[in-house]
Amino acid sequence: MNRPPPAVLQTPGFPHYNLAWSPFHSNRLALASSANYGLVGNGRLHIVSLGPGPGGVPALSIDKFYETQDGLYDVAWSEVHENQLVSASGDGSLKLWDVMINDLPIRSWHEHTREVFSVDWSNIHKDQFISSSWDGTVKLWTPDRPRSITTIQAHPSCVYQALFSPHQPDVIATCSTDGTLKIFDLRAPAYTPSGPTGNNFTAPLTAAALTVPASGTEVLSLDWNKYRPFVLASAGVDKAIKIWDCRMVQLGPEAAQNPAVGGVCESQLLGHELAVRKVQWSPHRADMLASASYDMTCRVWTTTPPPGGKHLMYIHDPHTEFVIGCGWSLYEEGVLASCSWDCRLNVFRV
Amino acid sequence: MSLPLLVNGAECGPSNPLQGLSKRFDQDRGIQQDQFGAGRAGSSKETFRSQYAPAPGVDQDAARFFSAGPSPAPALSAAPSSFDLSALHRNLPGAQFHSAPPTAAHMQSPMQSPPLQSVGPAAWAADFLQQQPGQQSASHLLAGKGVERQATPLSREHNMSPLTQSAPGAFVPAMTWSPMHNTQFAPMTGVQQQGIPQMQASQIDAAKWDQEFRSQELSLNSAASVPSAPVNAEATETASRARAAHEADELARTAGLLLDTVQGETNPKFKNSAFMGLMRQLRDGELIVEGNDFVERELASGAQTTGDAKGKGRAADAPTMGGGLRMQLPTLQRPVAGPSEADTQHYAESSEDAVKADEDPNDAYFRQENEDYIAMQSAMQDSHQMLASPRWNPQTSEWDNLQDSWDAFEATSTGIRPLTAYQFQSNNPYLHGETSRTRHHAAHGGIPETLYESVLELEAAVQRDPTNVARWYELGVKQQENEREQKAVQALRRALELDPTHLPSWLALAVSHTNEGDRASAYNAIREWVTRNDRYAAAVAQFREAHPEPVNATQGEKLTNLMHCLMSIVRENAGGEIDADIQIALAVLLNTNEEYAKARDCFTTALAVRPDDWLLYNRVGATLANSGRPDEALQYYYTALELNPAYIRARFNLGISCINLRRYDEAAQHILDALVLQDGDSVHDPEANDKRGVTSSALWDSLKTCCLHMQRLDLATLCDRRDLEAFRLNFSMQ
Repeated sequence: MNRPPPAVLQTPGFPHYNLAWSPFHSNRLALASSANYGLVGNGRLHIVSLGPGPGGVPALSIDKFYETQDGLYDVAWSEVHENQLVSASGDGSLKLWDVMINDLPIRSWHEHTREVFSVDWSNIHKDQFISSSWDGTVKLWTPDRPRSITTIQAHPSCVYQALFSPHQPDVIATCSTDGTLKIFDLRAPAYTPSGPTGNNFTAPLTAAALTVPASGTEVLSLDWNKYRPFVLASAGVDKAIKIWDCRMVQLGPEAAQNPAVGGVCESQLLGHELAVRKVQWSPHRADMLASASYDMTCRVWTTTPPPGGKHLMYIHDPHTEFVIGCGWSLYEEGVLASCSWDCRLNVFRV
Repeated sequence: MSLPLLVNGAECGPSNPLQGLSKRFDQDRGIQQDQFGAGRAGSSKETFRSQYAPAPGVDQDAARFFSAGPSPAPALSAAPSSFDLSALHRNLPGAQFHSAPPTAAHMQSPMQSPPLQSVGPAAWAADFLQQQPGQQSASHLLAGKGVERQATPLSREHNMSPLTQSAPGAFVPAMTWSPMHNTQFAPMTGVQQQGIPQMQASQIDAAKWDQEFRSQELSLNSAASVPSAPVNAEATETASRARAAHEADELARTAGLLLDTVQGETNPKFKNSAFMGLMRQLRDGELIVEGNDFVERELASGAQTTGDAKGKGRAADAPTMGGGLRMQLPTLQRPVAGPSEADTQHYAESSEDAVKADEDPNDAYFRQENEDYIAMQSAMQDSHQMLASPRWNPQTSEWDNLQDSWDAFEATSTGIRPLTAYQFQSNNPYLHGETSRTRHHAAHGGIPETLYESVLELEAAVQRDPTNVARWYELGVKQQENEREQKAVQALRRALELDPTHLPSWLALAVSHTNEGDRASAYNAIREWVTRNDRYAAAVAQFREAHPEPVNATQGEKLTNLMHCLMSIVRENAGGEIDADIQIALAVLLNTNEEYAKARDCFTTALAVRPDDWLLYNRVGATLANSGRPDEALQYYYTALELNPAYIRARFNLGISCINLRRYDEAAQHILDALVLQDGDSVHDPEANDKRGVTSSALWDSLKTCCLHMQRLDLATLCDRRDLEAFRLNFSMQ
């Protein structure tokens, strides 16, 4: 099958860290990037639109970009305001931008003490978003308030990603360096009882409704299945993508008193040659997900292969550096965007 | 974001040390190398003291982490090939934090201050002036030599790695030092080597120079009691070079580890990856971080001095730059790799070629200039080595002599006193002669005349009879037992000055040097012992005839040769009576070489002949502990202490083994006992209340570690204050 080449957008000098499709405009994307691979230097937030190009091939173009003092690691669009989006920055700050306003953010919060690595906007409580940071915390925010609403001491180490459940309000999932995936109920915040060795005073830890020992090494990414509640995908340094059935989780205040540990691994998707950096379920199909990896590929998988068939559906190989982010178009089924340290954003149809 | 943190402060490490330690890039080398770095360096250092793994001062959590042993910490079980770049990312800010080597260096030598963090020239001057007095007094406390003291301000400057020098002009102050000495001490060795760069440096920025000169002058005057001793420029240069290179390469090391992890990647994409190229450049030290960006090393240093002339600026940095340049040499001179070469090399080659292929004219220019400079530098050094030969300058050798004799003195506020001589404690109550030995002593001691109980008694005995070799020797051994190595060495040296043929002193001196980690001196002492030993003269001569030592043998070869010599003697005498001394000598050498199992065999053999020698029991114990068997060591320490309950070193060793076995309460008790014994065996000066008895800092440090393990911060604070009385009270109250 001869596929059309992907639409490509290059941002020289600014390797990408993540992308987000606008929930309001079918052809609009935001792209978070950092100079020097995010090791030192500035960041840049790009607003990109996908339009008809010459010869009917779709083409990408930069509508606007914002300069930041520090590298940007993630970006999320507001679910209430079509022009607003929030970015996660290496200096621990979060910034709210309005694409109608040039140069400066309309709001900025700085509570995290270390790099903010992910940000996610709730699509149930549409006025809330969460951020996760290397300082081990997850913070809940609303654009109107100058301070965070809640802080969750989620993990004893870096929290790579925190995502709202698409089904249940106030339920979030996190993943971390410590190799676990956790599900928290924001309505029942409680601290874990301090064990014989633990110390709740200097190192408090919020009780998770469920802790999934997902991997022996770091878990870099997770995503909620959009159609099957409490089915999650996790991916990380162990190179595998794992699908977890967490329906046994108990929510509510009593659950916080006796935190559960467990999770049923439905299936493992093997194939990436190096650590998997990002995983995302398709918003259109319950059994399809995309992953981006340090092996410089972006892959698409199915969890229900035809008999005798393979899980792996597609390999996107044109990137020449680590592929760091990928995201499904919310409007067009089968359209996937991937971004990479080669400073190229690719949009292609699977 | 993260890297600026590395430049700005020490607090940039991960909030949880575990986190930093469990990074997969470090999992192979990082933990052992970094955290055990100090300990490992100490392995030859404290041979007859056993060591505990976490160096004192290492974070408590880290200590707990190590003591947890091979627990299945998830992060550590990562497959070696798997890696995560975000971990690298975190690793970079963490690098400074969990890189123990710099810390270890600071711990070992209190004279080194932590690298300056804010380095604006003016701020620097202010800092320097403020620190000057404190530093002087600190060096008074140490039995430091004049040279070292003078070297400190210099090394303080060089201490700043290229990474931390974000402000321009950071090197100017450092350079101003040497020209000053240059004018005052023209015929100094080593200055010539720096001469050319310095002259150029002095042209850099007259205003700044002037300002710095004045501040230097001020500080020098404030230290007027210390005649501005000559700077051994050469030594300073090497030291600073090593340090700068080291710190710059924390980042490089991380990059190197990353490259190692993807070494096996066959995907051609990896070879062409710009990111991997960047990592390679970082690893090879071609790039450094400056401010918000990666900068080529040459450009960076050029910018640091001043903008006016790149050539001059770079030359000015020569002493510090040396490390970096030399580091690059292997890459630049590496022969073209054949197809069978290892992957890494191939990568390096290809990247280098790639760099050459698409570098722009500017880069090419700098690279060329850099190579020229390296060539010039090495040529210059060669010529200086030639010049350093005897015909160099009679005046210089005269100066060297002067310098040597100067080194032997310590300048204090009250005057100058010789340094190598043994310092007796003042107000020694035993000094009043035999009359001070009461009937009580005589009646209850029941000890032979020569066996004195305490250091003070021995000191008094020596002072009464200062030419008695045996007394000096006994004093030296007693000081060893009391864990005061420096004093022991001085006493033994004195004994040997009086009588170079006193064999037991040579042997004891070797033990002391081994404890101090001075391999060369230990080797020399044993060699002297062998050479002067009449009993084996024939055998030694025969061996030396059969195995002539090459003239330019390295230290290692000499050591092995001597060991073989001793072994052959032992073997020849196999049938006859066992000589404990030769077994000990051999064991000391084996210990120096870290062959603990063999060393232990030798000691046990010696024990068969001298079953009542507590020193030997302690040595077997320490050897066992050093080879990682603290549990077995315990019984030997116990036996040693049964034989001699006042044996401080054995008690201390016992404490350390207990720490290693995680029996912290017990350990604290033993170390406390050792401290009390040590304290009791010295004179409290009634006139200076703050002057505590002579207790050794090694004991206090270990005690502090122990307290931290016991979660007793209160006690640890008392350790810092060296308050023995308060500690004893608090400890018994727990």
